[in-house]
Amino acid sequence: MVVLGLLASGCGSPTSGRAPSPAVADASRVDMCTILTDAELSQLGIKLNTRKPVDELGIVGCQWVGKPFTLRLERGKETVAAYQARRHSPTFTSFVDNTVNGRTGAHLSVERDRTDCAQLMDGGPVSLTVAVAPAFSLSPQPVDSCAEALRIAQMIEPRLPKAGS
Amino acid sequence: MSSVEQAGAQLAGVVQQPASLAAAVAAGELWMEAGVAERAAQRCDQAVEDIDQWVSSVHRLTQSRKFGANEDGDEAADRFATAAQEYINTIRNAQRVFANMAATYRAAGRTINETDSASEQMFRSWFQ
Repeated sequence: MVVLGLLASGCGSPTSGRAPSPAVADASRVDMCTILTDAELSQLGIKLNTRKPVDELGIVGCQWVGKPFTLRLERGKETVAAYQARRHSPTFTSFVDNTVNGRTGAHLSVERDRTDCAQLMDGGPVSLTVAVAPAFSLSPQPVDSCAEALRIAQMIEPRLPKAGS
Repeated sequence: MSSVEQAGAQLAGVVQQPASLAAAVAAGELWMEAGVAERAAQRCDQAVEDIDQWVSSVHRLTQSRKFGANEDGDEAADRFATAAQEYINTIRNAQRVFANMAATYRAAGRTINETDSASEQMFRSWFQ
C-alpha cells in the first residue's frame, strides 16, 4: 500500500493550470508522540508526566502541559490543502500560509485573543500539527506561540519521511 | 446569556472567596500545618494542570473539521467555535480560583512554619 502510494505521488501528472506542489512523502505512519525525545521535551519546559495520548476525529498524537506553554503534537487526516481551503472559516481567528524548512505549512489560531497557535506541516495524505498555547499562570511569562510552534516544527521536520526515501 | 456564560458569572463570585481566605492568612487568622498546606496546594496545582489539558483538547476539537464540508457544516462549526470560546473563558475562571487557592494554602503553611521557627529560636535562646 505504502509503495503504491509513493509511486502514485511520485508519478502522478501535475494538475493542469496549477504548479505542482513539491513531492512530500507519506507521513501517515509518523508517531508524533515519540518524534521528540524526552530530553528535547524537557528542554522545552514540558512536564513529561503530563503526556496524554489523543485519538479522536481522525487526529492521533499526544499533548503535554509545561511551563510556559502547553504542547500538542498530532497527525491528522485533514491535509494542509484542506485546511487552506477553509482558511476563511469563522472557526479560525487567524490563518497564515508559511513553510517549515521549505515544507508547505500554515499556522492558525482558534482563540479570540490569538494566544494559541497550531503550526501545520504537509505530510502528503495527512497533516502534522505542532500546537502551542500559554500554560496558565498567576504571573504569566509572555509566549509567542506561533514562533515557538514554528521552532518546534523546524526541529521535527528533518525527521519526517522524505520523498524518494 | 448561554448556560456556559451563566456558569462563568457564578464562578466570578467564587473567585472572590480565595481573596478573603488570603486576607485571613495575611491577618494571621488562618494557618495550616505546613505538610497539610502543601498537599492541599498540590491538589489545586493538579486542577490547574488538568484545565490546561482540557483547553488543549478544546483547541484541537475547534481546529478540526467536524461537521462536513458544506454550508450547514460551516455554520455548525462556527457555532461550535463560539461555544468553545465561552467554555474556555469559563474554565479559565475556575483555573484562576484553583491557582489562587494553591497560593493561599502555601501562604497559610508558611505562616505556621515561620511561627514554629520563631518559637524554636526563642526556646533555644532561653536554654543556652
